[in-house]
Amino acid sequence: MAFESLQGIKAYSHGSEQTFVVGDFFAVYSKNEEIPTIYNWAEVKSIIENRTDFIINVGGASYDIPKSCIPDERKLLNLRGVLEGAVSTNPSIEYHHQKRILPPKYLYMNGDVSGAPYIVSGVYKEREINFSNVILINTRIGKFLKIFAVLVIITAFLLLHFYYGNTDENWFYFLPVSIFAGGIATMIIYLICAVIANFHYSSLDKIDPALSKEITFTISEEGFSAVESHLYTGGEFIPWNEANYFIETNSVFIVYKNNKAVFWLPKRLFKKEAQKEISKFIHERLVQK
Amino acid sequence: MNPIINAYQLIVGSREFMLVDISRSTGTIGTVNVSEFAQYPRGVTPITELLYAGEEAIINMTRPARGDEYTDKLVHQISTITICGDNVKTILSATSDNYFTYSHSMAKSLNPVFELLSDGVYVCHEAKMIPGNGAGNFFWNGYTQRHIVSGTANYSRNMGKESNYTPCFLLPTMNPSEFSEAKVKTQRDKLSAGKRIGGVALHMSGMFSALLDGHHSAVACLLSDFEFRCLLIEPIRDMLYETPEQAMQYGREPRIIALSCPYVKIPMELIPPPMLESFLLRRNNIKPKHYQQLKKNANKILRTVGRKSLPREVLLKAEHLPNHAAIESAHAVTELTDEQLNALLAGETKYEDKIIISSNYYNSVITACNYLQFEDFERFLRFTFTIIENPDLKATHKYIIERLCTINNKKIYDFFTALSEEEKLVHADHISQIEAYIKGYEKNINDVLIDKENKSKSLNRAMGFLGGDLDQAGIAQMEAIVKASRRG
Repeated sequence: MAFESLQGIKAYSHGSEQTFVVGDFFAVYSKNEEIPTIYNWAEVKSIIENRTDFIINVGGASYDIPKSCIPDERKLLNLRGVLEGAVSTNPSIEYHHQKRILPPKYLYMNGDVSGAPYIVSGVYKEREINFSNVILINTRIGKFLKIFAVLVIITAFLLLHFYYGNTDENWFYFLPVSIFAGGIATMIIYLICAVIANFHYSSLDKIDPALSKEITFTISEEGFSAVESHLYTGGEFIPWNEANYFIETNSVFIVYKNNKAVFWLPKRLFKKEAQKEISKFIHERLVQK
Repeated sequence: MNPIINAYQLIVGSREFMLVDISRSTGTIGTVNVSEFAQYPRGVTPITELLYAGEEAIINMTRPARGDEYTDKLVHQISTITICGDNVKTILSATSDNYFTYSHSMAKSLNPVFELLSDGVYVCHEAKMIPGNGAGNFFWNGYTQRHIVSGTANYSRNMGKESNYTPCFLLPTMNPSEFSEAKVKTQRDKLSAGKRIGGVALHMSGMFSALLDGHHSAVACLLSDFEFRCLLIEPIRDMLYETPEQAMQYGREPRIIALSCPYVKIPMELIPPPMLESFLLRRNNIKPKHYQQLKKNANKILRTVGRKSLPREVLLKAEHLPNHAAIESAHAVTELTDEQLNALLAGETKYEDKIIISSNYYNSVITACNYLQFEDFERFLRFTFTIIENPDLKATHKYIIERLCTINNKKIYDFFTALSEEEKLVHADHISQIEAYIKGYEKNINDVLIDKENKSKSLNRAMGFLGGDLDQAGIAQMEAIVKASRRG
């Protein structure tokens, strides 16, 4: 159970001429009808969020709620919160969503935050996410890059050997050229990764309106959360025991659940000393990779 | 901001009620879910709901972990509504008086209460309540300890989700230590003067409603053998699905067709569209202002320092009140004719080729007892006495005798006395139980008589001392003096 206190949302689709009410129940008013068809969330089979719509499949029917029918981004995020809250309460609902930085709300639980939690608010910055993405990619393919560099060096050396020959006399020239070639090739791959990371962020920025909104981050004894500030209630978090491990970069802490990054916490939102405390705090609860 | 209250008078079948939509209210009184989801693995969290008034958590109802909507709940009282502000107390008390004593309309009387309730859609009606805890005890002192209370499940397996019934059992919102004989006397005097008295109750769960006002009126009604009636407010929290047969007619899966509360199921087409939309948009789990404070107090136990014991007569009379099983049966059985009862007494489960209650004879007898005890006590006594006198129905004797032993009644006493004198072999197994009942009954009667005698002697002495007639206030004062001197 989570995000059950978010306001219900009403949306009218011009295409299908249907009005949807999403709250504790899912209701659909067809054209010119005063009595809606009402569904309990337990009846819903799946919810799919794509770039333009939310598609709700229930009882042999499929309802398409275009995102465009909710022009206010805050309300759109509210709608997404209500839907994901329903998924949290009814785990039988299949939920497919697009990539995002913020943890999906169905991962959250209601609960009390004890002690003195770290609570900060701020907006994600493109640079820190990109940089971290590159580092993450490097961490993942770092070993392969090294092997690749060595292979390029050896290949370049062999090519020079077969092409120019007389290696005994020229190895002094061949070696730096080969190393340079290996370095350049690796650099090119690194740059490609950076471009991919950048593209990844800019595509996220386009599809996830939450990225440009102020986010409230909480780290407490019980768990962690990153929620759009206008939806933040203070009573929902992802428990530590449901996360697997974390990675710390120069600019962010990234917590993983089921091998997916679910929580990005920018370090710049904290003072130096607090950063150390938080690092220690997370270390005590999760394994660092 | 002023609350927005829209009220409509509706009739569904034979049930007349007021449907009210409240928004932007102060939310002083309501229920809130304070379950600790994060402390348990997903899906096995005990669900705890609190009735609150202002900052005070009043009643805790907890559905055990792994329980479902048919599971009874643990209930205990935490605090008293009387300390959550004079305003609340005054409004509630004035509502009862305005409606019952001064005959104001329901809408007019309840309007100030609506401003206190949390946002939502409510069904309001007048109902006969049973001032018991559903297990043969008086309600007021029945929840100081945390325990599972039968009949508090959201739905009853016997009645199903479709049945209409009145959630007639009561949960107190006032500390038993606040019991005052003088207040009871005032209420009884009102009854004697031909005035109506009653209370205000808010449905909590299953067959139970929290009595917001009218604790002393409930005692007075019980003592004076009057029905205790309340203005009952039932929040609509649920929806009713059509039956599979109904859905089959349209060739579809069963759909939601009505808003549901225990008293009535309101078809969608009868609900004003703006109210329905408002209901659909509203979230049920909005946290009140003092949520953290309420959650902190959720598991506190009611302090009953200086608790006064309720009069013995109240406790004895409460034993006659139907229990929750009787009410359930009364709703599960629509009618029991004398011919059907005779067939049951003859050991049959069918009458005119139709099953009377159930194909299981034992279940049929239990259900018939429950139904009769609630609907017609005299027929209940005749039915049970006839069963006990019939040696062929020995299998049911144990249950019936146990059942009768819970009721303090002269006719049962006479019947058991005669039975014990007969010393029939068929009742040999139960003779100790019967004798215990007879002894207990005789002791109770003696105690009550002695109590009454003492009281009247003390008052007579006091009257003699003062040398004149006393008015009602004087009598109450004297009673207090006598009590104080006894304690001294």
